[in-house]
Formats: sequence, C-alpha cells, structure tokens
Amino acid sequence: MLRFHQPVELPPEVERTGELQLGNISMPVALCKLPDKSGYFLYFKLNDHSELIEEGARLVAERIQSLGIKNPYFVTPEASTLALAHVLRHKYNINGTTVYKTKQLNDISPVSVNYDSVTSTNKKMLFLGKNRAAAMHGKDIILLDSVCTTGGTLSAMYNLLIKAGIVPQQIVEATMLFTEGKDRTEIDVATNVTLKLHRFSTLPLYHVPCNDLKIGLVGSESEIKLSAIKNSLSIIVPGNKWDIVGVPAQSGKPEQPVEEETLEGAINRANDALRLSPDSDLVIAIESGIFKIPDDSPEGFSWHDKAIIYCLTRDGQSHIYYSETVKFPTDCVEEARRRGFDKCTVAMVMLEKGLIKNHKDPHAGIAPFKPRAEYLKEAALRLCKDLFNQPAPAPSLNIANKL
Amino acid sequence: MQSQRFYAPAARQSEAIQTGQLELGNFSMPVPRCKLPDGSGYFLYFKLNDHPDLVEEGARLIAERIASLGLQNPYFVTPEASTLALAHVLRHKYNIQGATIYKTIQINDIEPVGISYDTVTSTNKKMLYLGKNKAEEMQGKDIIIVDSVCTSGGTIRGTHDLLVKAGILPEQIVEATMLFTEGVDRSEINISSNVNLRLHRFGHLPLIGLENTPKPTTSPKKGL
Repeated sequence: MLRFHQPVELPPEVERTGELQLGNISMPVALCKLPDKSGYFLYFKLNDHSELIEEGARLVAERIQSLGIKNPYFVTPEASTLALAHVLRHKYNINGTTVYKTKQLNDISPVSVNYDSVTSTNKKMLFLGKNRAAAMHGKDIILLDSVCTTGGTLSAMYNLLIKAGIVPQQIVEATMLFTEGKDRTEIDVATNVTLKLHRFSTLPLYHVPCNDLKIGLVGSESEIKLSAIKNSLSIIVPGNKWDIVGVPAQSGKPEQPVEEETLEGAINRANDALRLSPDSDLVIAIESGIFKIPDDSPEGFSWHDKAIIYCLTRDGQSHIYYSETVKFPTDCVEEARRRGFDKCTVAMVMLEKGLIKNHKDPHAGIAPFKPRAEYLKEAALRLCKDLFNQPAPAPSLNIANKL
Repeated sequence: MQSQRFYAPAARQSEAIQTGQLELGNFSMPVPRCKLPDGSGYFLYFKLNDHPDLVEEGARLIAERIASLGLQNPYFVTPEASTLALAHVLRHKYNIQGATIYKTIQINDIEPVGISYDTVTSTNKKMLYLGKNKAEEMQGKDIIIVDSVCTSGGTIRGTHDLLVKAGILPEQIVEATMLFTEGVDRSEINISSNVNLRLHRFGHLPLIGLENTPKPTTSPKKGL
C-alpha cells in the first residue's frame, strides 16, 4: 500500500493547484490533502468534467481498437467511470459492464470480494451476479478505471471476475486514464498473476514537507505491539541492533475507536509520539478499531476488528497497513456502544460474557483463534518489507505508543 | 414526510411474466420486475447509467423541456448517482450547465451544508451535502432539480431544502424535472406546509401490488 514511490516537491502554498493532463486536454485542478494528511493529490471528479470524459473515452476506444481483439468488453467499477462508460457504449459502440459496490436487485447468485483502497480506511466490496458474468463469456475483457494508485481496486475486479467464473485468459489488460504516485505498466492482481496495465497519463502525489523528523522509530508501549514490530524488523533486516523504544503517545480517541476514528487515532498517536521523541527517524503507531463490513447476513453487515499500522518516515512519507479483520459478535458491539465507547471496548464485553480470556488479546479466543500478535506481525512485516526495500537509512529505532 | 407508494397499484401480472415495459419519449424497452424491499409489491428495475439509449433520450427530453421554459440562466442540480451519465450528456451535447450534489462531503467543499432526508428505497436517513463555494456558482441561476425517478418525493425535498440552506433563494428553483414518476403520478411536489414545487415528468412507472396489498387510495401504505 505504498503511495509515495516517486515523491514530488509540493508547490508553494499560494499555488495549491496542479495541472491535470490527458491526451489533448489540460486543466487546472485543486490540490487536496490525502485523507491521512500525509500529502496532497490532484482532486477531480471525472463525472463532473465533460471534456475530460469525452477525451478519456476517445483514448480508451482508440486503445481498445489498437489491441485488435475480437470481442472487446470493458468491466469498470462504480462510480467514477459511469459517464465514461456511457460514452464508450453510445459513441464508440463498445459494450461493457459496471460492477457495483452493493448487491443489485437483479443479481442472480452474486459473488463478492472485499478489498482495501487508499481512499478509505474501511474494507470495500464489489459484487457481480452470475447472470451478468455469464454475459461476459467469450468476451475479451478490459478492466477499466479512472485512477490506479495502489492497484487495490484493479486486483479486486480481477479476483471478482475469476470468482464469477471468468477464465483468466479472457482478461486482456487494465486500461487506466491515470496512474497516480507510481507510474506502472503492469500490476500484480493475484499471487503469481501480473496484468498488463496501460495508462494515458500519470498524476503526481505531493509530500507534506516534514523536516522535523530525525533519527529513531516510534511505536508502542504495548508488549504485543512492540513485539510485532521488533519481530518483523528482525526478520526483514536480520543482524541489526534496533533501538526500539515505546512511548505513551495519545490517540485522542475513545477507548473503542469506530470506523474512521481508528486511522485518526493512529495519526494522532504518531504525531504525539513524534512530539515525545523528536529525534525519531520513523514513527510507527498502531491502533485497533471496529469497522462495519457489508456481508450476506440478514442485517447486511457485521462488525470486524482491524488494526491500522501507520508509519511516518523522516522525509515525510506515510505508509498505512491494515491487519486482517476478525469478526466480533454484534451483541457485544451493541452492549459496548450502550455503555459508551469512550470507556468500554467490545473486548471488555466479550471478556465479561466469557467468550475470551484476555481482553487485550480478544482474537486468541475467537475463531480462527489466532493471537493478535500474529495479525499485527503479518501487517508489520509488509510495512517493514516496503520500508527496507527502499534506499532508507538503517536507523536506530525508538518505538512509542500506548495501545 | 410523504412516502406513500401505492396510490394507483397496477394489476399484478402473471408470475410467468417477469418483465415490464419501460417507456420514455421515443424509447421503449423491457426491464425486469423486482420485489420492493419490503416485499409488498413489484417495481420496474433499471439502472439508468447502464442504458445508453435511455440516457440519451432522457437528456434530449430534458434539454427540450428546459428550452421550452425560456429561462435566462438554466442550471440543473441533480443528486448522485443515477443521473451521472445523463448529466454528462446535458453538459456536453446540450451545453446546459449543472452540478451534481453528493451523498458525502467532497474534499473540495468549502463550509459544506448537509441535510438528512427519507426515501422509500432505504430505511436509513440519507444525506446530501453542498459546499458553499459550489452554491455560490448557482447564484443568479434558474435552477431545475433533475432526477431519474420520483416515488415519494423525498429526494426532491432533500435537494430543495439543501439548496435553500446553502443560500439559494426559493424563487430561483423553477421546477423539478423527472424522467419518471413512480406509483403516484404527480404534477407538483409538496416541499413544506406552504410550498409546492412544480414537477414535470416524461414517463410514469407503475408499482405492481400483491393481492394482499391494502386498498391504497384511502389508506396509503407507509413507505420503507
């Protein structure tokens, strides 16, 4: 989930617009802060810009034609490409399907996938009815979207189609109007599966200058979380003697964070840790929260616990990683809510009900009975891999945080 | 709020016939009938964005309607997301300016105002937001509220109230132009106790009641 592969210097405060270019179109658009406030991106709603839609459709149609495929068919996720898809169908006579984030009423035996994207801290879902998948058989499929940043949505679309019975050989390529942050010509969509990616332009991501980060790594006082970071670092960079220190950073959020409070809490914690340990080279904050995830249950959703690992580096790069989620009992969530999330966590209620033995590690007591440390370690490993595959200095480490 | 559905329920078709005919201007197509979320009947189900000919015909009719109103500064306002393709055609092909209002606060919204409203399609309250920067662009414009389907009128009321809350004068809001009314055919919509907004529609969609649906005209069924 790394964003800042090719950092770009942020323009001065007075010029916080950037130029968006696509084919023969060029237009100024606003620079807006990323949701985690770690930088800026060029903000536009494709559906609101007619000339951009028309130019995008022209380029996509030309690209599809150049591929020389027999039965071209695009598949695109809602909603940024809805108008683009209309122009492709109406003006260029190219057929395709929109895959939706919710189950549609006329979907027969729908299949679904969960996925992460950098634009949201919540899991997202895509659905496809088998009746609509059947209409794709024999087609040469192009995965189409407006912007590819980490590739999360593309991977989800690929896996959704495979799950719905589409043969991998049918999926020709991903055609994007833009890549963002990192320019790509291919994308890993599944284990051992790399898909060709064609894009017409690249959007920069701008860092927030962060000159006050110095040496060290800041993370957590919680033994579980400290161990997760320590173990991961020792696996990725063996032999180094890390100076890992936990400091009691504050999240400023309720005892039981819910939804977006989780990322906000992690960011607050990282910033507070920086304040407490200004010589840090890296700041790692871990925050766990509960998230409403759509599913096939009668309520249409269930509550899942998920940890967010948020890392700030000395040069201002931010990295966000998510642990796997663990489903929490709805009645325990509602009871904790009734008592007040400011002082009561769901795990406390689960402990009272005898569902778990340790409210600091509720995951160990419920299916699939994997300790919290394992979930954290898996996410921390991904972080450490990304951090140290880059030309980063080998810092002395300093971990802070309270979990 | 009004959320009645079954003012004039159509006779139920045979179970074997699972489609209905959707008609709009010069366009006609079969669409599936789907059960209402509360199971009390059927409605004609379609996703406007997925039907290019329907989008084009809808835009043509709306453009004609707006031209016929003789407005000086026509400007459409439409809630996301069913009209996204339609809005593009209005802008690009017919050169009619307008804005989409969103269900979430947009990153570039300055001092956004929000409003919650009820619809028959959801048991939860829905929200619409509009930044004051975007509302400023609407000053002096003759505003048409555009949407695909009006069933209870909840979204139209929500859009109207949002615009007024953002500083638009009620006099600027000319009418609601809908592709379809559904269930009850209307020519105006009650916005508040003393305010009715003219409603223009091009097609009408029946709601097909089940045998055990209560007699609707005297005791309208409460919406979802």
